[in-house]
Parts: sequence; C-alpha cells; structure tokens
Amino acid sequence: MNDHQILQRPIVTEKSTIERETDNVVTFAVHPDANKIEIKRAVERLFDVSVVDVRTSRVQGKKKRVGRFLGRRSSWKKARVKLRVGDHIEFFEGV
Amino acid sequence: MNLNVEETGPLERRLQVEVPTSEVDRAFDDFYRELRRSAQLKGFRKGRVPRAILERRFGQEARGEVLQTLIRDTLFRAIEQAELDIVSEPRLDPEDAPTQGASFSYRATVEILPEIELRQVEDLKLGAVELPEPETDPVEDQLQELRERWADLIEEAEDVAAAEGHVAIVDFEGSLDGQSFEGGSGTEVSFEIGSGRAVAGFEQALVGLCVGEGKTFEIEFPEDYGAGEVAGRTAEFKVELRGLKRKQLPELDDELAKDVSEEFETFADLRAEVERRVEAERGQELQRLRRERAIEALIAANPFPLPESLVQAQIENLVHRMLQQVGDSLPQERREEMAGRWREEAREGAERNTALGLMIPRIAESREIQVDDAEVDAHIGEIAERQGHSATELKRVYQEQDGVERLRAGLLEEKVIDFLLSKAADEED
Repeated sequence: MNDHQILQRPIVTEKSTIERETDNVVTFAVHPDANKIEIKRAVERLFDVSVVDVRTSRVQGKKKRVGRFLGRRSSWKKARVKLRVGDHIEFFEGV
Repeated sequence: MNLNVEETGPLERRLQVEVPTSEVDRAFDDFYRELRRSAQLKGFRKGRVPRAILERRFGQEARGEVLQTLIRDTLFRAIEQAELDIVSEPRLDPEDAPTQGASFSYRATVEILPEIELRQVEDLKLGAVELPEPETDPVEDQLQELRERWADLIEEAEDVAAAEGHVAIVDFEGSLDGQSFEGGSGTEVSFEIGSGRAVAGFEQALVGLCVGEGKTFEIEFPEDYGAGEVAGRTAEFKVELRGLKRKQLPELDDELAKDVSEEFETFADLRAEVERRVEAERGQELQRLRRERAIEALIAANPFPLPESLVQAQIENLVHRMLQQVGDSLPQERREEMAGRWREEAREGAERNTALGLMIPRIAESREIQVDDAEVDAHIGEIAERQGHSATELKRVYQEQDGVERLRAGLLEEKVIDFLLSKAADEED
C-alpha cells in the first residue's frame, strides 16, 4: 500500500475546519486497512510535516433506500491527524 | 480615489483612476459577505462556510465581480470630479482584476463635448437663394397629369397591335429556373406600356401583340430590385394579351374642371387653382432651401470639432431605420453591403445634424429663444387635425413615448433657424 492509497481524500467540513483552526488537526478519508502508524508516515512523507497524533474511526455507510431496494453506502475510515505546532497542509486545492 | 486626466485628442480624454486599498478591500468584504449568505458547499451548512474556503473556491469570480463594482462605483464619480461633459460610453482599457490588499487602478477613455464658441450667429451671409427654373411649365405638367388621370379607356379593335401608350390587360406567369415565385404571376393585370411602372423590359415585350396572342420572354431583374428573391436573376415570363385599351385624354375645358371637383365652374377656375398650388409649392421649396442655406452658413461660420461617437450614433440610427424599411427580404450579405454604402453616404448629413444639434441649444440659450408648453400644444393640435385624431388623445400618445420632448426640440430648432433667417445679412424682409 503506497502513501497515495493510504490517504484517499481530505475531509473539509465545518467540524474539520474548526478542529484545524483550534487544534491544528487535519482530517482525511483513509484506506480502511491502513493503521495509525502507516497513516502517520504517509502524511509526513507527502506533506513534509511532523505528525504528533493520529486518531482513527470507522464510519459506517448510511443505509439508503431507493424505491423498494435497500442499499448501503460504503463504510470508510476517517483519520484525524494532529500536526506539530506551526506545521500546515494546504490541502484545499481541488476541494 | 486618485484621478489623473490625460488629453489624448481634441475631444478625447483618458482617465487614470486609482482606487485605494481600503476601498478595494471593502468591495471584497461586501462581495464575500453576500456570497457567504447564499453559498452552498458540501460539508457546510448554508451561511457557515468560512471565508478562507470561499476565497479558495470563488477567488476568480470575486475579482471579476469586484472589478465591475469598483468601476461602476468610481468611474462616474471620476468623470464628475474631472468636470467632463461626456458624450459617449466610456471605453475601458482591459485591466487586470483587482486583488485584495492592494490598490487598483484602471484607465478609461471618454469623448467629451466640444467647446462651442458661437462666433457668428447674426448677419450670416446666405447668398442668393434661387430655385432652378423648371424645364417645363409645371402648371402645364399638372394639367397634363389631370388629363391622364381623367382619361377614358377605350377598347381597341381586335386586330390592333399593342404599342406605346396602350393599356394592356394581360395574364402572366413568371418563373425562376422553372419555379414560380411570389408576385411573379397575375391574371387580367393592367399595364400601361411606356409608363415604366413594371420591371424594365416587361412593358416593351408586350409591344406588337394582338389580343389573344401570347409570348414567352426573359427579363433580367436589376441587382437592386425591391423584391429580394429575384434581384439580379433572370426570370422567364409567359404572357397572354387579354385586352387592349387606348387612353382617350379629355380636352382641357369646363367639362374636365367640373369632373375634377365640384368647386370649379370653368376651366379658368381649375387653372387658377393649379397655378396657386404650384406657386405655393415653389414658395415652400424656396423656404426650405433658404433654411438649409442658413444651417450651412451657421455651421461654416462656427466650426468646432465634432465628437465622433455622436456622428457614429447618427449614422447608425439612420442606417438602422433604412434597413428596417428594406425588411428582411434581402439576404444577409446584401444587407450588409447596402448598410456599408449607406454608412458612407450618411456621414455628411450626420455631421451636419450633429453640429446643428449641438449648436441649437447654445443659440437658444444665449439668444433667449424658448418653446413654451402652449406652442407645443398648438403644434400637437395641428398634427392632430392633419391626421384626424383628437388632440388630447394624440398628446397622451406622445407623452407615453417621450415624444413631447422630441417635438419641443424640433420646434426649438425651427425657431432658431427662423431667428437665423431673420437676422441674416442679406435678408430683406
């Protein structure tokens, strides 16, 4: 698994924006099988920053009904990555 | 706002406007505040998108929008501050859009009203204004026309061949490359041979035919023929002569006079009336020429540079109206070709109108010539009477279409020209 497979996309929402501004924590959607150590290394290598802490959670896909068919959106893994004070990632490009 | 005005031509000024940083930033703030209220982005509730993200996302739009806002807000202020009387839409030189945290400057070119110095208004030299002597006596011509109009049509004998002066009644069928075309066919249509009312060659082609005979011939339509479809093309016509009549002109006598109108008892009455009309027409024509001469003299005596944009507007206005008259029967390229020719032809008149239009108000003001409401009303009354409308009704129509001010301007122009004539150097009466 290479770094780009681990970090799938940035998550930019109201909540993540607040966390970034107050705690210097950025949020990614990551590969479901990636562990915290892999994520830490990937972020450090790709964005040239130091990672202090990684917290992950698995987000269950929502159940969605289309007519009489019940479906489920894919589950995914979220990683909240705390950066060293003073480090930043310009990951808004392409949002 | 910093302003720098540069003279780039006799009537052209280039404005260099610098908008300070604070004003630029305020414009950006306004834009983002508005945008924030309405922007909907995934992951954010409406109205909660942080400005930084909006800037990322809508930066280009913001700059374009702010560019327009700033120009709209400052350009007319700048023009006012520079005390310029502009006559055209300002022309903006393309500029880089403003950026936040920096001042923004742009350039605009405007055309201004010329300084009009009325050097000579009174004592204009008109020179002798004379109507050319008509080659033929207009009274005789008019009487002849009356004879033509009251002529009797008399059926010709069957074996007489059509000739100049006959009225031929024909059926005809025209075709372009085997296809019939609009207006190309008719039954029992009267043509007066030699009147020149039909397309050139058509009437002549009928000469020599007897009633009941037919003939096929080709007509080449001229390039500028009115009906677009056939212009410049050759059409084939099949005609059949259905009847032939000869015009019998009435004698110039009391009988004719009574026919023309019940007012006339004798031919002498009719002749007197015709003479009176011809005289009146010549009088009007003479008056018109003198007014035209006065305008020419005025323009020649008071030269000033004309704003090109006003002249262009006049030309475009005229060409537009002419094109409307032509309608869209003509193909696009022909229309453009004609428009191009008209533009050249219209220039002289447009320059005259522009110069006159600019001078009239000045003269009126300095010589205290005015048109009051009563005069406008009286004029509307005259028009109403001529057209058979009620005056109040007509006035309402004019008011709705801003016509009253145009009427007033027209009347003012007339009065000013009257004034010129009355003060002209070689005007006796």
